[in-house]
Amino acid sequence: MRSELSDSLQQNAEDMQTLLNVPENSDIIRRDFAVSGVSACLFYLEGMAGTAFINQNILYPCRAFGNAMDVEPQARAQYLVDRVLDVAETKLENRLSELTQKLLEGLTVLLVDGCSEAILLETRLYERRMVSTTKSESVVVGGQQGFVENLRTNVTLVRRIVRSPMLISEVFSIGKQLPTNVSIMYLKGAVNEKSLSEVRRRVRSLDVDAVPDSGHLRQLIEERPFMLLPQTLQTERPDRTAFLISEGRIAIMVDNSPYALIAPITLFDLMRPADDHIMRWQHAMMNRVIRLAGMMISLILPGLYIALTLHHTQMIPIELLTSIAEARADVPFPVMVEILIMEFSFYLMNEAGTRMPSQIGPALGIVGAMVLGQAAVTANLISPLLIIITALSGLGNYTISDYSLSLTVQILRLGLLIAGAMLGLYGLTALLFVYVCSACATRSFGQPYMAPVAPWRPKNTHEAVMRQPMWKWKLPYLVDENSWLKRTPDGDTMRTWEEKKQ
Amino acid sequence: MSFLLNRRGAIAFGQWALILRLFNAIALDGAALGNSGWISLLLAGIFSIPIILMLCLLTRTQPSVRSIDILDQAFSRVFRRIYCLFLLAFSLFDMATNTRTLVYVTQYVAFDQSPTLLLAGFAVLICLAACLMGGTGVSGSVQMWSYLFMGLLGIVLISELEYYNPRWLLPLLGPGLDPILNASFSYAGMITTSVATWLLMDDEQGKDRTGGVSYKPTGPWLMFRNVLIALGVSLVLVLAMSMLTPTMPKAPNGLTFRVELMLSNGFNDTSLQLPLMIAWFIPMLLTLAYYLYTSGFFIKCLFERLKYWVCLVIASALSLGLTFTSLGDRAWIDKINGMVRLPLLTIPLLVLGTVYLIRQRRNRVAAS
Repeated sequence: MRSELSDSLQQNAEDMQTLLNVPENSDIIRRDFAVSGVSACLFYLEGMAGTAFINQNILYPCRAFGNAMDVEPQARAQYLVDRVLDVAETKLENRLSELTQKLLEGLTVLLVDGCSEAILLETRLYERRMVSTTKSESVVVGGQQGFVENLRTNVTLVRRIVRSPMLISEVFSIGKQLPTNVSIMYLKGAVNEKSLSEVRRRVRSLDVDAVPDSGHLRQLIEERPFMLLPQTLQTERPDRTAFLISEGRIAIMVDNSPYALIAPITLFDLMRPADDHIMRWQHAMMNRVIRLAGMMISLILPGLYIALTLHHTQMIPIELLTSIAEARADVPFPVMVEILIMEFSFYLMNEAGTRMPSQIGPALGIVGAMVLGQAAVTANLISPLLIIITALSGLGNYTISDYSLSLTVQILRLGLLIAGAMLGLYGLTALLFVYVCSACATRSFGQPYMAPVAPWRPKNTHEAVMRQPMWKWKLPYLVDENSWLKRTPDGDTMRTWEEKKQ
Repeated sequence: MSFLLNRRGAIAFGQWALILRLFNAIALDGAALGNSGWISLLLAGIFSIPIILMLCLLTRTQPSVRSIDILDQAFSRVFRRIYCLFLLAFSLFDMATNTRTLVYVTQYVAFDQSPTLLLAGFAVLICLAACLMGGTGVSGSVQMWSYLFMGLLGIVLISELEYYNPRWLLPLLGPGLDPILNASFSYAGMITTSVATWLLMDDEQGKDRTGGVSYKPTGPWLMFRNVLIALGVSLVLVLAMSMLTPTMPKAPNGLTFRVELMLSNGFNDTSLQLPLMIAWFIPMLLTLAYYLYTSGFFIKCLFERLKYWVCLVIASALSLGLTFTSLGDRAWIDKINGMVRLPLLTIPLLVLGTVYLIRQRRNRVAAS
């Protein structure tokens, strides 16, 4: 089959039909008509294109046009665009593959007899979810809007926040067989050029049939796919995306996905929820410390408990040791089995709670509390202290705002649990040492994953644990020092209303 | 993957290893030095000044050449090989002795029934895994752990305040001048070899005036500042340790005392053992990782065709082997440290380096 259109309308229409599997594809509509005596043919996808819009802005003007088309046959398409059609966004195209692809995206294809170019008309009007509140990243203060499954809407949501011509949105399609539109958004002149070219290189060079979601793309572009720590950040919040873009990051959005991918990132980005920069600095810092402590408790506490009770009992104060021994006296399992049962039960509840319809969610809480808590203790299957340990580590896990990171912590916790059971504090610290080395060796799109702690960048500590007052923020470490994006070096310029001290 | 590090990584790595090596050495030489280890440390610092200065100036003579290659140009390829061979030997011995210490402590606090091979093999494997991830990972984690280590140690030191007694530092020259001087030469050897390794690993790149690549190893002031920080921290630790009243039930015996007792139930309350334990294990692992990394680095310097991971595997096998021979015994290595390290490594380098620097200066004056 030819790859480009010919002069013959009949031939072109047949080619289009063949490519689009018409008439098997019954929702692809073909409409033949005439404009000033010249035959034309319209193709569109029912449901994806607005029928009323097509009737009103394409068919009606064409049929009502009474003047003769006194131009060369090859110029007819351009003539129609200039003088007849009432559509704002149009494009002439002669490649059959491009025409069919655009048609599937909801555009309308208009073929004119004698002309080897077709007109692509922007007629997309399909059912879509309205912009609504976020589902997985709710905050106490700050905006509540979340991304939707439409790429254009998502790009617009970010543009509404970052109103600058320097905000660039590069849109292209990926996926060889089933192409999907992808947008890369960044602040020109502020973004790290090396990271940007690396993002472009990885996304554009993918050799894949289809990328239906940002989650798929994430797995394909991360540099260390076997590493547990996520190397991109997935967010469904436009305000968070906009904030991170203003810090020199790059947002990658995929059509049909309500999540944006942010790269490059650090571990501390994953631990900062969307409202971190909105809150007053004292509150935000307190919350950061709590979250960090929560993560450490979730990661280490079960392993530490098992290491201490199995191998370092001399470190436990005698009163506590007696109490642990008494609580465990009737439990028939070794402490390792006991803790594994409890951990597995927690994972079960967690996974069931995630998949369960919201209407029966409270029932899960009751079942968990009753069966796993009270009943297990009464039946002497689990010691009460262990329930406290597991509950604390579970609570600590919930303080991690990033879902992917919280899953990572769960898996790493298991490793520490086994190391603690086998080699006590020696094993626990050794594995922790490997975890930290591994995190420090990781790079996200060329940038160190543990910055600004390792490598230590004292100017950028506000990006890690110590949240500074907003007027003390320095330029993010990812933003080039020569960038047009400036942050005030001290409080004098940002808080201009303050009287300067003499 | 390369063994060379950026400046921050090299400084963090070198500084950390120096602190731990000096503290360990003094803590474990305690039987011979009594409470006068801090004097040896101060003397060692003073003895090291000329060699540190010479090394810094030497590596900056030719900005467009890597530090390791300057050895070729300043002396000869044979000298470089011999020098790297000595440094490799010391790194391996240091790793072996530190592995032994770590294993003894682990056996003392919890695993007295576990075979030494298992515990030592585990430690070496962990360090090998960490080093295989690249120098960035290990040096980055050093930077992270150093804050945690300082915090934990600060907690322990402050909690022990009531036990400190400056009278325990008296008499100042209790063990006599000979052991103090001998120890100070030994520590000076450690400081200078650490500084030499640190400079050789520093691969900080910049651009010169013409736009060409310029290697800028750590300059004298930065080096002195960082060595001073390392010496200062070690000195505080040693002084704090020396001022503690030995309230443990039985008197210390053998070459390994104090650290082990601090970890169990000698000086500390039970609640303090946990931070101290973590503050002990992780730095020990980092120190082992440092010696493994530097051993790999010197193997690479000797056999340039070997791959990064092969050098590390060879280094870990050699050091693990040494751990189980009498050569890995701390008493032996500490005894030869003062006798061998200084005359074999430091003094020839100081003499040859000074001659080279004078020649360079003369040439420059003649050319101008």
